[in-house]
Amino acid sequence: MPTLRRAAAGLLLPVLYALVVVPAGLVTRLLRDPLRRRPDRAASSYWISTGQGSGDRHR
Amino acid sequence: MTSALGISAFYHDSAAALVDDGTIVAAAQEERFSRRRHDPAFPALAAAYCLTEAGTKLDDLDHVAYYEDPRRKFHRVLWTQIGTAPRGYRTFRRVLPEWLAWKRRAAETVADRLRALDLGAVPPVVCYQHHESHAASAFLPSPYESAAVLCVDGVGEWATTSLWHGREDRVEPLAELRFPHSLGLLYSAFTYFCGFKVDSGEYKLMGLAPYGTPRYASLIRERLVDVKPDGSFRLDTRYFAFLLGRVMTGRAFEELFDGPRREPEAPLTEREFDLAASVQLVTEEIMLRLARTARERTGESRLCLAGGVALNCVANGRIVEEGVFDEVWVQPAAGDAGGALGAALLAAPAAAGRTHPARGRDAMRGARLGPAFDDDAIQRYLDDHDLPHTRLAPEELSRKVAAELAEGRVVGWFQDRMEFGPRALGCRSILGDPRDPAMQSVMNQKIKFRESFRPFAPIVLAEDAEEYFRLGQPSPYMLLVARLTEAQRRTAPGEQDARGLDRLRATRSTIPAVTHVDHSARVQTVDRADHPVLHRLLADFKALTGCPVLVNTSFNVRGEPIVATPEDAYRCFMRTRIDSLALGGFLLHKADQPEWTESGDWREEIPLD
Ligand SMILES: [Fe+2]
Repeated sequence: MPTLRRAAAGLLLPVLYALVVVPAGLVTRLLRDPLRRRPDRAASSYWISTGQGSGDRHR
Repeated sequence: MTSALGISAFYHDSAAALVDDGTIVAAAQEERFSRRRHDPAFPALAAAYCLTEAGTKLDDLDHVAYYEDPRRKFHRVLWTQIGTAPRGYRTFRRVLPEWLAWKRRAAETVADRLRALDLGAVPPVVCYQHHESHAASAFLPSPYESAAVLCVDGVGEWATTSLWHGREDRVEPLAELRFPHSLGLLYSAFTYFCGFKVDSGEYKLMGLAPYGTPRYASLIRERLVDVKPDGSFRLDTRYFAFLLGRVMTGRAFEELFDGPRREPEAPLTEREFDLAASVQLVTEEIMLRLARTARERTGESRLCLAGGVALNCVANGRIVEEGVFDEVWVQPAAGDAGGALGAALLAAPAAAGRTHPARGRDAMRGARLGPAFDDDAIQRYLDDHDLPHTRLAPEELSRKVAAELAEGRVVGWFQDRMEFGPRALGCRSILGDPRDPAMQSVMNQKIKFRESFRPFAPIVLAEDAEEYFRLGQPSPYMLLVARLTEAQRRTAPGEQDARGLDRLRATRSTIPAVTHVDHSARVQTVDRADHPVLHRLLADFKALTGCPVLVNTSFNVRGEPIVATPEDAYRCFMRTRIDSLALGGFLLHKADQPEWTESGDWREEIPLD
């Protein structure tokens, strides 16, 4: 059973990655980089407010 | 009245902590029991110990408190995949199966593993946010009624840096920075690049820094991390590889910093000293700005710190030295082990509120929260193994050990409950005479079997601390670095011209064994009320020598967890050139012991750290 599962996973993972993760990544990044990777030299601060009423505690 | 068992697990340095009505009953890291350094496994042994210490079963507890939110962490893992596609397949293949199989349900796994201990029915598991647990561990046990709270680490769910306001028995969130922008990961990237192990070699990098010049600091500021005046920052992730796989740095990083990384155990070159000095300087600058922002945002005059970066005692020392806050308190288990304690404190607050600040004390009991062995238990161990020893009354033992230390002997000091957190604070310690210029290399090479550049830390009578160190506040957990006072400094001939490790050999002060090349020391102040046994030993040593300071290093050899039991202590004593061993009320001398034989080379079994 474990061998069978590993074989199935070995096949499933590349398919999942190619058909779901890659397209999702490309589309998402057209709209916005989910990791906000690049520094923004023009911004004055990178703090994300988590205080009362900020409503952004859970993304 | 509520009680909770806190658990941190499955990443690095797992731990358990038991809190009953706001009082910390017990806390310990799994590595001490399993003897696997930084053991990330479920802390079954530590949890069982906490329950034994409290004399309870799982049934009697109200909650199990888990130190982070697995689902939210899973979101971060998924978003990272989406963000890095199509370049992140290798990580995807490695991490997704385990996340799907159990990691996203880590809380259920914790319940299952507790059930398997067969110590009663498992109460409901509550999950807190990773930084919420750190913040709670920083503020709730601190000696302050209210304070600013700053948590800085690698990463938990999303937060990597977070700012809180601690008031009464709550920590209120203010702001955070998120993955992949992480000061902990920046420091770890340099740790990796300099050939040390990520998540444990950061200490070595910090120890190297004073030997170098920060000639890469401006490059780091320009290319790797954009820091705003308020201390918030972003990394330029093009230079890092941690989003894509197991390693921290890639080719872009190598091009920036003059070639490939140093291989582990390869000789150290000028470049590594300078890289260490540079990343340390930038870290200090960021920590200072973060601290100033914390003060502005909260209006508080005291700061509490936690998270792995809060173990950077040099940066902590800068915050104190620059007077950003009137006083700073650092959770001794600032790393993820302390998350178990923070979560338990959140789940089981005192019904009457926090009462210790009114008494001017913290609630950590000197971090002595682990197992103790009374003299009967030690006697049984010594008798069972026929080990020659002398039993002494406490005052006599203290005087005898002080006299041996004054003669230049190295003493293993095993007393009281084991410390919680990464440092030995005088319960599982190796002690020596700091006035002896040869002591640092003797202890490094004959006892710890580690690199000669690594400095030792002093313990000092709290009442004499200011005579030796420019500290200005207590440092009970060895998490502040302070400069030596002018009166204790000595300039050695030729010191100015020496470079790199040659600077080690110069005598720099009245206590050279604990003085770093830049005249700094990682100080632990010992207060009579907090730590009576250790205080007495220091006082006895001072009576003999006039010196209220001793060298203190953790009771272990390189790469091994700190000793937990008398048996661990005896083994370490016999494997090394420690001269005497004070085990509770018993004193053992190396010369009297039967010959120590082991099959094979034990040093092969201990992994490189
Ligand atoms: Fe953490």
